[in-house]
Formats: sequence, C-alpha cells, structure tokens
Amino acid sequence: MAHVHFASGQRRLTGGVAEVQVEAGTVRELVRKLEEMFPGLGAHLDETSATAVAIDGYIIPDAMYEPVPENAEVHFVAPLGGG
Amino acid sequence: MSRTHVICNINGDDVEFLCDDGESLLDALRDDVGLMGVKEGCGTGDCGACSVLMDGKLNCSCLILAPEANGTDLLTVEGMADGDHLHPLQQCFLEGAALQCGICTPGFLIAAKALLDQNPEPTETEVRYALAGNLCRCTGYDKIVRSVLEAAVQIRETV
Amino acid sequence: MTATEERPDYKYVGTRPIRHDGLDKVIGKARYAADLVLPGMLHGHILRSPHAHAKIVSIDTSAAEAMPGVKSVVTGADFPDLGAAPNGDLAKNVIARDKVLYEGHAVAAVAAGTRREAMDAANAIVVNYEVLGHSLTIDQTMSPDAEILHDGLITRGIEPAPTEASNIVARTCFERGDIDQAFAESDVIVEREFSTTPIHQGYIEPHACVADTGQDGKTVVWCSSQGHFRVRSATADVLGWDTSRVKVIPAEIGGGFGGKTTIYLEPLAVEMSARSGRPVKIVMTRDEVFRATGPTPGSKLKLKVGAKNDGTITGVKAWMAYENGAFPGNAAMLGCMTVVSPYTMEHMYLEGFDVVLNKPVNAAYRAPSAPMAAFAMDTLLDEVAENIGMDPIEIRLHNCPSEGDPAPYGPKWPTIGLKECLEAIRDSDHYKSPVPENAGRGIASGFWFNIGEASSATVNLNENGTATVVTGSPDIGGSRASMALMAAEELGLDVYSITPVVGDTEVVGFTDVTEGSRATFATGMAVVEACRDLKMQLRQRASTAWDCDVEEVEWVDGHAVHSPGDHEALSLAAITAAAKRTGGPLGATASLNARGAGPAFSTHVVDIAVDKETGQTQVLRYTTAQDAGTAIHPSYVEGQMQGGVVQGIGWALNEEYIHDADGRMENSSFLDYRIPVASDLPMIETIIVEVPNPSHPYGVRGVGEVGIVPPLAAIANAVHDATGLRMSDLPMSPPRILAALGEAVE
Repeated sequence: MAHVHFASGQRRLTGGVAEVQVEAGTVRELVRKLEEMFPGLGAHLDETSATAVAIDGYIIPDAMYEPVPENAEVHFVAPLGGG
Repeated sequence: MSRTHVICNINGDDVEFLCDDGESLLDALRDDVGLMGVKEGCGTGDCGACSVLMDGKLNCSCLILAPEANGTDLLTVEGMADGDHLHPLQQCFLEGAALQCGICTPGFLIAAKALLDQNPEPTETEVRYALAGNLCRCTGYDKIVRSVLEAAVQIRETV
Repeated sequence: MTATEERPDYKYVGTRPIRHDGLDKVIGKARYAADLVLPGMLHGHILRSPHAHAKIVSIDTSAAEAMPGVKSVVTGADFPDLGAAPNGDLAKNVIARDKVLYEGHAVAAVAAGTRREAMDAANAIVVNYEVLGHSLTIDQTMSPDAEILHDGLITRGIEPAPTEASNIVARTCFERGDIDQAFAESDVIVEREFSTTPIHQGYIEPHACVADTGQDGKTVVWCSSQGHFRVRSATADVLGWDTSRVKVIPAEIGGGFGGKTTIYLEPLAVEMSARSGRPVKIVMTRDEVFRATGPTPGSKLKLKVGAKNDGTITGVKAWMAYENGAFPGNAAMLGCMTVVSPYTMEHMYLEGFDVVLNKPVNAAYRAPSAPMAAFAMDTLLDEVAENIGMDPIEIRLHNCPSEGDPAPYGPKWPTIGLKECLEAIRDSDHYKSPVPENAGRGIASGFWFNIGEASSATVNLNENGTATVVTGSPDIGGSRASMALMAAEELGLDVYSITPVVGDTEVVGFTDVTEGSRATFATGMAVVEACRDLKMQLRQRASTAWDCDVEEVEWVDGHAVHSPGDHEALSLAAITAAAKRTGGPLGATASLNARGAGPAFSTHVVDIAVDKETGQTQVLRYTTAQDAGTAIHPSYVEGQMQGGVVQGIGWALNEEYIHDADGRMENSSFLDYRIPVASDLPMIETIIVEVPNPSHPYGVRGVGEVGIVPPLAAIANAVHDATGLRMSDLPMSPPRILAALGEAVE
C-alpha cells in the first residue's frame, strides 16, 4: 500500500481528503486508481504537476512509469528547475 | 573609409594593423590582431576583463582608441608566459583554483601583474584595492586574492 | 572541512588537482562564443523597444535594408506565431510580435558586414508604437485598474476561476494544521512586510552566439549557454523547425548562475544566417544584458511567525508576491516551497502570487525565489530569538528538521545535513570569537532542493591507456574536473590521464541544462555508470587474454588482477594496447534520468560594521557552512560556496534595478549596478559539511545554489545587531540605512 498525500491545492479535487492508501505498482497505476477514486484528479495531476512525484522524500520528474515501493510515501509536487 | 596605420609592440612582437579612428584598442586587439584573450565584459571600463599593460601601465583597452596604441609596448594575457613556462601568477591561479568560468581571468592576471611589478610585497588590502577595478562574479575573490599573495611570495623567492 | 561520518578511503575523490580546462583559461586560449570568427561572418544587432509597454502599429525596415553592408533584416513577422504552444512565450520574448512588454524587448534584428553597419541600420528601422499604460511594481500590477499585459490571462489556483483577465498569473497555497490555533498558542508573534528588487545574475560574459546555416537547411550554432540541448530545442521551436536541423556546439561559458538556461539571440542569428547565406554573430552589450535578459524577480513578502518561549515555532503565515517579469512563471510557488524549509512546525499557511509586469522576464538565478523568502523568514526568526532571549543558533537547532520529518512542501525529508551545518557554525572559530567592537553579528540558514534530470556520458579508453570522458553538461564552475575525478576513482586511472570534455548535441546523448546544482550529481552518476560498464569490459578482456572465467578477474587500482593468482596483473594501458586482439576498442555510454537529488542546506555567520554617519556597511568577517554530501573537488566546492555568498552580499547591500517613471532602466551598467568588488570584502571562510547523499555513488548532493540563500537575512540580522534597525527593504544601501537611522532617532 502506498500512502498518498494531497497538498492543500489538490484537496479541492479529493473533497478535502488529505491522505489515502492505494495499492499500486507504478505511478501510472496509482494515478489511474486515484482518478477512479476522485474523478478529475488524475487528469489534474497529469496536467499541473507533469507527474513530478516525490517518493519517500526524493522528487522524481517524469515519473509516470516509476515503481512505487511497498509502504511508499507519495506526494505529487510541481516539477523544479533551478539556477 | 580611410583607416589608420598603427605600429606597436605586442607581447614582444612588432605588430602593424589598420584601424578605424573611432575603434577601441579592445576591438583592434580582438578583431584586427586576433588576440582573443582580451575579453569584453562591459565596453565601458567598469569590469576590467579587457585589461592590458600599455608601456607597463594598467589600462582598460575598451577605453583607449586604437590609434593611441601607435608606438607603444602592449602586454596582454597571451604574452605573460615565457614560452611553456607560466608566469607565477598563472601557475598560482591554476593551483589556487582562482578561476571558475575564466572570462575575467585574463584581466585579473594583467591587473595583478601590474600590481606586483610596482609592489612586490603587497598586503591583502593592497591586493584587494589593486584588483577593485576587475569584476569577478564566480569566485567571491577569495581564491584570487590568495593566489596573488602566493604568487608574490614565489616571485620574491625566485628573485 | 568537517567529515561528519566515516567515509570510504578515496584515492582521487576529495583531492584538488588542477582543473583540466584551466591552462587555456590562464593563457587566454579558452574560446568563448564571442571569440569565434568564421569566414564571411556577418555581425548582428538588435533593435529594442524604448517603451515599457506598447502596441507595435507598424515596422518599416526599408531604409535599413538599403543601407551599406546590410544583408538581412528580420522582425517578429518573420517567425511563426506559436500561440499557446510550449515555448510560445519564449518566442515572443526572443522577438516581439504585436506588443512590446518591457523596455529592451527585441523588435527587429539586422545582420551586416560590420557591427557599426548593423547598429546604424537598426537605428534606421522605423517603428510606430501605440504606448500603453505600464506597471513596474507588484502593487501597481495587482491593482484592478492595471493595464493588462496578456489578454486572456486568467489567474490559476483561485476557486471559482475569475472571469476577467488580470496580471496575476497564479495563486499558490500550502497549508498545514490550523494557523489561527498556532498564533493563539504562541507566546511571541512577530510580523513584518519585506520587499526586494530584481537582481541581475551579473555574469561577466554577455550573451553571444554564432550561427551558420547551410544550403541544406541545417544550422550550426556556437553559443554561451548552460544547456546546449535546450538551446537546440528552443531555437528549433522558435523557428518552427525540426530539432534535427539544429546542431549546437557549446563554447566555454563565461558565467551563468541560472541566467543562461534560456535563449535570447540564437533564433535571430539562425534566421538571418539562413536569409543571407553567411554566418552571423550576435554579441550583446552590457546594456542589453541588463535591459533585456532575465533578472531574478523582485518580491513583496508579508510574514507572521509565532513561537513559544522555549523557542518552538508554532506556525508561519506568509503572503508572498513575486514578479515574473513580462511573461508568466512560477517564482512565488518556489518561494512558498522554500520559505520555511529549514524549520519544523505544525501549522503553516503559505500563500503565493505570481504576477506579470513590464520588466524583462525572469530567468533563474541560483536557488531561484529562495533568497528573498529566507530573507523574510530568517529575519523574523532572529526577532523571535531576540524577544525570548535565545541564541540564534540554538533556536535554529531547536526547530531543525531531520530525516523523516515532513518538509513544508509535502514529502518527508530524506537524509539531510542542516543540523550539521548549524553545529559547524556554532563550533566555528568565527562564532566563538567575540563580535568586533562597533559591529554586529548575524546568522541565517538556507535551503534549496537540488534536482536530478537527464544526463549522458560517454567514456572512451584510448590506445595508450588514457581516457576521454564526454558529457553533455556545460561546465560553469569546474564540473569537468569533478567528472575526471569520479572517472579516475572508478577506473583507478590517474586524474591527469583523463580528458573531460563537453560534447556538442551530435556527439553525446541528450543532457538537461546545467541548473539546479545537478551537473556533478546527475552527470557524475552517468560518468560513474559508464565507467562501471568499462570496468566489466576490462575484466572480460583480461579474462580473454588469460583464457579464464571473468569471475576470476578483479579490477583493483587500475589493474586487472587474477584472483587465483596464476597471472601477473594487467594494467589498463596493457589492456587497451591489446584491445584489437581482445575484441576491439573499449568505450561505454550511460544515459539516465537521475533519481535521488539530495536537498542542500547551509548556515552562515557574518560580522558587519555600520558607519552611522554615512550608512556605509563593511563586511568584516564571513563564514559559511554547507552540506556538500561529498566534496568531489573541494576547491571548487569552496568556490561555489564563496561565489554564492558574495552574490548574496551584493544582493543584500547594493544591487538593485532602478527604473524611471516611464519604465526605463536607469542603471544598466556595472558602474551604476554595483556588484561587489574585491575591496568590499574579506576572505570568505568555508566549512564543507559532508553528510553523503545515499542516492549517489559518491554521496554527491549538489553545491551550486544554496550558498546564495542565507546572506540576505544573515546580513540584515547583523545590521540589526550593530544598529538596532530591522531592515526589511533591500538593498540595505547607505542611503536606506541612513534614512532608517534618521527615523530611529526621531
């Protein structure tokens, strides 16, 4: 089970839910399941975050096919650049 | 347009070139003589990247008109090493990691040489003031100042 | 240097060899983009808008085209309208189409035989403008009667979505717990409003490029850039070309700091080269660099911090507006994500507003958005510490996050080294020494994410036993030396037997921009992976020569060693010399999307003297402690730390964009935009903290950016300690300090 946390800006699409447990092997599967649970959320995560995902604290860009380890802590965050 | 004939000595070689009257020495060195080690950071005398020694004196070549170089002795970074033997400032800059991007380095080396030619035993403060006309955005100057002080020691020891 | 845990005994990693590209740089042979001369080359010049905001009614280029030496003139109409497609805004920034959005916005470009001819011709272009109202401040542009920069710009992040366009790009909000409860539970509450102006990256080399477009419709671009693969794709997009028509060769780069992660000149040079059939060089003047290339944003920040008497931060409420310049960006979002990161807290409400206004569009600058945020946060934390009588290091240690704590932007922190940085400063000679008389001391911390992204490396072994390491990462601060050191460590080859080079877009695999402190981390990973592949190959070659199983061959210190001991060890050079016999030349390539970039933290202490008669400040002593993970080449890690600090000092004390009422920049030279010079500064003492990043083979964390984050607040706190003033507007220039001292007396 992955522990998925939603930032405050994402919670308007989860009806205020801040955290859910989802069984998923990859980020893609996770996003699909989240879309089933909260219609519109999957598309939102796809568009707004460009699938930058933090898994157990490390931010991974373009993470759609990334494996999600058992008990992973998952956050959807904005992709980052820098100087 | 008629061009001015300039004869001077650059880095030990007699050099002749033609330039426009309004052309800067910086442009003449780069475009007419092909000395690309002289860098342009501002073109207004504020950054020191185009520093040269003219008759031993430190100048921003962007502030000098090319015809003014007639009859002078010029030194650019290309003339600092003695063949394969680097000037102590060059060697100390390398060993002291005094450069990052390197664009300001030729100007700093020339300005530092001008200082050490005049004052072989400068204090840290003297080095900092002598180099205050040269801008570096990468290093915070720390390693540049240390390298100049180290080069001064080495030059004194070899004399 | 502080080694915080037992680290492996490396032979090369952690040493300080002379950088491989150093010699050319001290003898004047290093080639930057402006140094390139091609046969028949033309010189380009750009006509720029004199107005901050105006409609382009018409452009007449006929007089310019008739002038001597002129070979090509282009305007926005000569480039495709990308609309809302990716890079659509970038295209409009490279050359304006219907509207100019800031003074300095490119309107037309000319290529001619000489620079003088190009300049004269550009001045002969007649542009009719219809001048529009403009906004130069956050307050102006957020006001309901502000002139709209972009029709149809609807603010994101507001429910329900607004129906009218505005200059507010987006609202971002990060919320945790209940901020009202936090303040109700607080013993101390401090709040202030802060402002900062745009700051230029100030690289000494102006932007420059040369483009040579051939009859076959392909072009070669030489340029000064932090990422030539991005130059390739962005240039192709702006031209409406297929990417494969563009080859980009990275020249040496004369500083970037984030400012060379985008493009300005390249599509113009390519298009004019295509039209004229000649190579075209464009070099910006310093004036153009200031007026037309990306500064880091100005900001207006309101923060409120609650704490208990024991120093525990209860919560932070922030309202943070960041200028984006003329086109939309995400500066405020990054501000929200970084503002409280060096601290743990149960409650927070962080609200960010990105706004467009009539100034050049932002480009990244070292840890973009974080320094202003830290300026506000660490100033207020200093005030909290003062109010409750707590040491400024102790309050930071008391609230310091460690592995597993939730970061403010969501995820749990992985392995981080902030505590170690704070302790290093606490235990430093500087912090233990008394504050000099008539001076003040300030402390601040900073955070930056660091990123991974895509990198490629090819390592070829030469027939004489040396190696060439080719990567796609432009080297802006010594990264070639780091690549060579990691390859040396892997292969057991002397570091000077390795030649590290930056390959062009056709000789090395795709590599993202050198940004986000990623080169030594991510590209280093690719180098290590390629070297490990090579080591496997070397063992196989030895097993072929020895006619044994590869499992019997170990790679030890640059030699193949037969573990049963039947054969004498073979050096790398012996294997490469016989490579044709054992299967051909040896080379390996690795391309990866690097995972596990390690967050960076840094803590600084500074002593500042303030002349109360002139308002002049003097930095007396400065010490920075920064977690590098592992310092591959300590000299260049120190260099990154020192460079970041001094840029922060300039930001805190002197640098600012000054515009007149019409939106024209008044200080577009290094004389008037004053970056620090050697005589302004003391030595910058460095303490490299090493808490290895477990995701990198050598523990690298990335060191390029975080050093610029703490100085603003550290200096403001030192000025307070020296004078009693809380300076909340940057820069803390002599007139500002003098005015504040005057007000304090009244």
